[in-house]
Amino acid sequence: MSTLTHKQRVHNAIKWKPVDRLPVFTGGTFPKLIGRNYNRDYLHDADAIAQTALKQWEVFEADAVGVGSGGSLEVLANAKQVWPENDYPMFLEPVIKSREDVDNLHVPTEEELAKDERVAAGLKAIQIVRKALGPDVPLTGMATGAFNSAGKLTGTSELMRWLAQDPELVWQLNLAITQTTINHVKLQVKAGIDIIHMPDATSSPACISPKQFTKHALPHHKAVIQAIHDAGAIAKFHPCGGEYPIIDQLAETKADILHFTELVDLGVAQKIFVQRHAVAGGVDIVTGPLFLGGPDEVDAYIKTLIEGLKFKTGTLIMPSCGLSPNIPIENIVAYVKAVKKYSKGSLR
Amino acid sequence: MSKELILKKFTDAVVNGDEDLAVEAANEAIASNLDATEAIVDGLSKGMGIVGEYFESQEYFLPEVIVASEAFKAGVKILQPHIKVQQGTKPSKIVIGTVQGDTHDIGKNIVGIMLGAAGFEVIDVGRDVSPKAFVDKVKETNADLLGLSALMTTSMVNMKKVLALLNEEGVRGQVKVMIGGAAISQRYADEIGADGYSVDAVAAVRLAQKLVAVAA
Repeated sequence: MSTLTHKQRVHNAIKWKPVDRLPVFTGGTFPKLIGRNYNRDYLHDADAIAQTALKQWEVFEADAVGVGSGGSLEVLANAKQVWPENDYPMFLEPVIKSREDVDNLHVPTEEELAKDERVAAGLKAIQIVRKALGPDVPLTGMATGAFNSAGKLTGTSELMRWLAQDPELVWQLNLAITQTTINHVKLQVKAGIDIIHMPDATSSPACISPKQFTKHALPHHKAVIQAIHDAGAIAKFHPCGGEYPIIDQLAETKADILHFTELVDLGVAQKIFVQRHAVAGGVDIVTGPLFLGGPDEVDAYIKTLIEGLKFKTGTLIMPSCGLSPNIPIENIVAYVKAVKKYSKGSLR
Repeated sequence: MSKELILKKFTDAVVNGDEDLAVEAANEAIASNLDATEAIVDGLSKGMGIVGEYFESQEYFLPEVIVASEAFKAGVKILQPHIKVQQGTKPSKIVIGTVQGDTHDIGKNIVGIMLGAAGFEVIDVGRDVSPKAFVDKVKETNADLLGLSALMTTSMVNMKKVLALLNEEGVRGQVKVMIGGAAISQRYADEIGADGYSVDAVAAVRLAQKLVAVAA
């Protein structure tokens, strides 16, 4: 078949239609490509965020590029995070400690979010990248899952204790987080995002039970994914951690793409979700060669991965979780090239 | 109340995550002159053992483990002043912490809870810990084991620095080093010369018990 555009390739794969090759995503943010570190200054600098995304697009030559736009949780909590060098920003101490704290939360409107310095930088970066790359390049944004966000605000241990002893309080907290996330999603899509990535490790079976997932997490995930669809974007859900016990529930999220960790065999996921949901992942960032291996090892690894897939559509090849900034760039380049080489000419 | 009933109350308190019941059982144990060590080992720790089994079989998840460990700690807090120190029965010591450059400590904390429940003396040095701080603590406490945790590939490289410093300081032979964390694999453990890697908290307890047995 003729060569598809990036967007056509991704859309066809999501719908399990024929593709010229499998789409490949890299994920990760690599400000070192423009000589910057991942820190507070970087995440408040729209031009730097945009230039990083554009450089990643140029160097990696994948089928989509991520443009980070965080900060909504800080607005909800009305609290500032700390900014370790080359690590994610975090609240060092819990900022939500009681029912009173939850009762006092004010869900920021779209307008209030857009006024925040960090949120605004992210949104401006999306606009810059969209203008530079045109309409054919899928841009990915971010909507952190409710339990991940709640854990940042309360501390994960305390969130787990609340879930065991006062689940209604967790529900109330997550309602505020979910509505904040929805408002941020709307802003990102308006700015030019096509695909919203929603990771939630803390609601995965690595932390809570499948029954707790059904009752306390799934409704929030469904609400955000519905909002992503209402805004006109594609939803990619990443239930990060030991996903098999909830794999039967993932279709209920109605996410377009289910992005699995290395704990789920991508070939098995294809067979479960064939013609229903696209599946993503396959590149094991823990035991695979992306971090510790070299380009030749990466090439051989990707060849084996793709040869083992029964279906050559309905699938996006990508790392099994986020990439840290110290993954060798040459390995990422080799990975993308290998996906293109070994899945070329794939139909179904 | 009979000894058996008090011990069962301890176990039930932990398995059900009932802190109040653990406190009640501890007070009853003291009033009945029940040996505090026996109460911890055959009551509270037995309960944590059951919780560990439930966690491994995915009957329990983190919320249940956290409230169980709080019940365990509530009982131990009351019993601890009454423990009679016995000659030659000191528990194995493990220093644990998250390596420098990494502030993520959920996994390390869970491992610490499970190790404590399994009878290890856990010396938690926290997160973002420098190689020197790890080595100093190992020397200061004569630890049998050192547990290093890292979530990020950016920080896991500091595990190697800890091992190098243990060698430089001449104490590598005295302590077994186990590593873990989301980014860690057996391959990495082999590469840096750690004594073991565990994929989760339950496996970490088994590994620690195995390493201590080998060293003994």
